[in-house]
Amino acid sequence: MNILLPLIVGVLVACAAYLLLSRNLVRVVFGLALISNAANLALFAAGRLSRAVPPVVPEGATVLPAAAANPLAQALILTAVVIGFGVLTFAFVLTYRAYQKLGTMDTAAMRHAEPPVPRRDVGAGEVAGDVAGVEPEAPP
Amino acid sequence: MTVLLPLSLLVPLATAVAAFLLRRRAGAERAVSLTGALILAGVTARLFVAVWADGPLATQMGGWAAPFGITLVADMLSAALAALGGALALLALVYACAEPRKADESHGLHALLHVMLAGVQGAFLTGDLFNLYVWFEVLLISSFAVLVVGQDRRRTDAGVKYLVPNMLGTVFFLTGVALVYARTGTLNFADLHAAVQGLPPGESIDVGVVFLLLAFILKAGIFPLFAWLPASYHTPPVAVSALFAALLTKVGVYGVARLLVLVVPTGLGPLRDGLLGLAALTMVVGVLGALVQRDMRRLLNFTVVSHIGFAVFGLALKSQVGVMAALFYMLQDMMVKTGLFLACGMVQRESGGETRMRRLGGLWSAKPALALLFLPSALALAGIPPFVGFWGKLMLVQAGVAAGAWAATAVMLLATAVNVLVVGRLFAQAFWAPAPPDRPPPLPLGPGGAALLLGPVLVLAAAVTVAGVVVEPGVQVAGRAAAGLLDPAAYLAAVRGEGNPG
Repeated sequence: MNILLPLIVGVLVACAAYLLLSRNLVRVVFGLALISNAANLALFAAGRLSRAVPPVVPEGATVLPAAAANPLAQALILTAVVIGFGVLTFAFVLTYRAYQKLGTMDTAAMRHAEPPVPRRDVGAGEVAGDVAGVEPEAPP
Repeated sequence: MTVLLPLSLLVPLATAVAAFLLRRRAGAERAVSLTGALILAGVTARLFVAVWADGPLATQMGGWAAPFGITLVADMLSAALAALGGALALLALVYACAEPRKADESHGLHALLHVMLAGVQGAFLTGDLFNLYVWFEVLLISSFAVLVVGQDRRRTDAGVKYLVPNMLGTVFFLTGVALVYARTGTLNFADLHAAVQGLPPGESIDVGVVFLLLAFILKAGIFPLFAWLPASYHTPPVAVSALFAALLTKVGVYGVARLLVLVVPTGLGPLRDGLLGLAALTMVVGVLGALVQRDMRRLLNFTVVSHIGFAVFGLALKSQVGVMAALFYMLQDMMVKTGLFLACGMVQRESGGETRMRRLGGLWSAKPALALLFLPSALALAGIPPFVGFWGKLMLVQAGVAAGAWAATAVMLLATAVNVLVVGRLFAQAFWAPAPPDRPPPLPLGPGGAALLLGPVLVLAAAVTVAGVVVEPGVQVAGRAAAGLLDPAAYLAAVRGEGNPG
């Protein structure tokens, strides 16, 4: 149990890092989903994991049995999961809107708010879109 | 008096609900929004007065005693930030109401801004690490929405670049919370302070602290985690950008101050000096970035980055004067930034909405009074006496020399010199350069716009000047805030002493 959880967190973070490095916005958002769940699992581990000892104070006692998991960490995860769910939903909607508005999922081609940078790997037509209010940089 | 603490959160949240319900009715929405901001400014100002008179105030939500319940606590630092934030939010919202109504307002811009204000106030006033995380999320989620609510292409693009790094920052934050909790078993700042002192030798919460610091310096926009800031802050209307620049990045700096000075006053070893290096790099990168910008609004973004470096420089010095200088710098920078952003908004309006540097000009002859409104904030940013920015920089230099951080102090002076150049270039281009021949007419104002526009800019220009001439009260506030962080006995007593009110 104590080796399994770190392994899962490690694999999740590794996959997330791979996805986050992608130029495709959809992959980036999936990476965010994975890494935020890795953080939730780390928080889970902070509350001490134990098998078959529910965090319930037994009758007649005033404190939890020594081997019980700390229920506060689980309450914190619950909060974090709800927040994470909300933010992820927003991220997916924003991704879809970005695709509709900007016509691309390639983060390197999204240069509407910043001066376009001439790049060899981005077609000139993709960056020449709406750059109102932004002065084009002179090519080097 | 402790009722003021929950009120500072309830007022913006209630205003947000009302403004959202009234979002289709132009006048009513703005009236509700301004009334809410006025009440919030009043409540936070009263809170500041109470803390100034009686020391830290704390209350436990739900009546659960200190380390178990949800603590709201205002020491001098929190109260000063909350009060200044409330006042600046009111000024920025008044300015925003001078504009003719745009699509983003009928989509709930005012409601989102008030939720953001609640998040900012919550972050300043909470006494608990996990609640700080929750308020961080509240202000982040609402700022995401504020950024993209107009749905134009530039704002959508900026929203993507703002969202991804900041979301990663909250993941770091949560991981840090997990690691700190696993080692100490508590998340209350006051309790953590004691728990860290009581750790057996060889144990520390440094790894967790580093994760938390990563989240804070990302939110503050410190090198190397700042690239999202200049990519996004120039796209919303100028009043919204002013709020972002004055409040959101400062929450990151506040987190660094609370964590490094109150919770882990010692430890971390060479990492503290690393923070000094990062602060120096932030100043340099920010100011050089500002120097080469061809767009006024993007130039402002880079000055935000640069001046965060100044504040963190003081925090990284490990001395009482350093912390005091940093807090004074942070407080005056909030004021100066809002003033400068709003003044630049007026320049943009007079230039027909143009922000490209070479399309500005001619305002010296066309609008000489505007130059008078622009100069106090601009000169304060450059650090020229008698404006308030000079004193902030002077205190930082003194603290740096006293701490023997010669290299970083030299870098700071160099950055300040380049900063004068940045501000001079902006002023010369906007005011002294000849007006472009085909300049579009000034943008139209909303009903009653001229007074709503002029009021906040005038107040801020006057505030920056007066705070520079009568500098003693500001220094006293910063001094007390620093003393409260470095010797938290009163803070700890306030958090622990308040029993069950029921």
